[in-house]
Amino acid sequence: MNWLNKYIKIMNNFRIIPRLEVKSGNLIKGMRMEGLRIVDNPIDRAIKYYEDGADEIIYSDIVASLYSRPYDLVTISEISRKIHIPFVVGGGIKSRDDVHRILDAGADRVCINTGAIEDPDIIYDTSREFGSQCITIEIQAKSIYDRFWEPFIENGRNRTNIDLFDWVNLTQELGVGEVFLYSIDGDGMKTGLDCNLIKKIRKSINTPFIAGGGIGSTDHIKDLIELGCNGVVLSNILHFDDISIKDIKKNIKQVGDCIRVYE
Amino acid sequence: MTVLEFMNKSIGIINSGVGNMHSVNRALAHFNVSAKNVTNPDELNSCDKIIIPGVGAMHSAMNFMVTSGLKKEIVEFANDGKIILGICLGMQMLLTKSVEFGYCDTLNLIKGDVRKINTKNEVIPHTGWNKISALGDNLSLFKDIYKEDYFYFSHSLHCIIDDDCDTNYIDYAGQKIVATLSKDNIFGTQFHPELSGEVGLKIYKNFINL
Repeated sequence: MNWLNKYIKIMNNFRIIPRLEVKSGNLIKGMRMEGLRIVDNPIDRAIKYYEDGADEIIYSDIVASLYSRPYDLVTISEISRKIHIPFVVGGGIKSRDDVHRILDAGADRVCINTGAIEDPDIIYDTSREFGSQCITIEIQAKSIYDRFWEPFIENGRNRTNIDLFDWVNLTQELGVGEVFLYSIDGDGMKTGLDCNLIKKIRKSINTPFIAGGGIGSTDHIKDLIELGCNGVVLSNILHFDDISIKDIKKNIKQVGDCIRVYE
Repeated sequence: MTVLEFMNKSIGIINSGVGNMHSVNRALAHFNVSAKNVTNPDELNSCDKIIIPGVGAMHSAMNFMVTSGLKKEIVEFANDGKIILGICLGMQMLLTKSVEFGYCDTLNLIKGDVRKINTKNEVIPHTGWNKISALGDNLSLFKDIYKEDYFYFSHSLHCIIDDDCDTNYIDYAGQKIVATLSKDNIFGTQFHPELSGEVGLKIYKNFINL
């Protein structure tokens, strides 16, 4: 018997979700959300990950929020034409109109961080209009002196002085469709995620829960499955070809039938 | 079938303004088929078959159906034996009524109700990929689809059917959820074939050939 079987009964198939962080038309990657370097063209990468069997793709414009830049709707629409899996777009979404524009460009769902902390009503309004399954809240978490967790905004740049769990609970009341936890401390470090944090969030929410930031091996992903996460968000280990989506899935499938394998 | 023949069989996509019809359009475009954007009864009448896509909330979508006059016309369209495919919310719309954010009368082409997934232990919305193990190959829409194939689901409500029609289920955390339905010329999928990768595209290919 393997340990995964008991989770399979209570949860849905686990999702492997590559994340494309985009700045000025380039796919970039940094460490602890700094020291950015150019990796590739986001469109080519999206196609590659689609063909490798990604279950979903997240596209984040990492400066749209900070500089209030307009979205690169051309790139969003180009990617959405090439992939036939859920395409989630985030970065700088501040209003119902932003959501509408991004969905209209071809995204299937949106991912909101700064905009929701500045005005939580956006979650209530958009989940009622577009359906809650359409709205993912991204929480960029940072541990403060190892004493508490705080959600950050503007792609990990600015503090909010809010307790992370208060914020998680509020998003649930407002009708969010999914929580995406991103560890700022782990970003690009390949050290895995804080299991206690994951456990605590999983206990307090009923929505799908995905996590990322610092995943460095398939074992880190298995930890997330065991903790009841519904998906993992990957960037570094895929971008730099440490491991392929196919190999990750094959590896997980060997220990439990809880993942979609694409032949 | 040539591209021209495809185009003569005109497919319409109901655009209620809140549903995302782009992904459906792209799936059809994959087979060089361009669908008509249907927002009123006139546009509906120039179609041989229609797709009711499925993102958004039931109230705003049905509100649009009533005020645009499409609700009545779609029922007639179905009674004429023309083909309708409802996807996700679009499939739920085919039923009698919904309880999402309050009571709502829907198209009543298939008898049944739309209800919230029982939220005792399950993660809601149900978002992710599932196998439909009992998928019957007797249905032309599901030709070349196998029981090992996965489909992408994204919903908080599901169909409770009280009608004589073919259905397939998935098991979501111990609850039976209708994944597909078909009754004569009416088809529905709770999952999104347009977001289910290459396997999902086969369903569009089959739909085009129906």
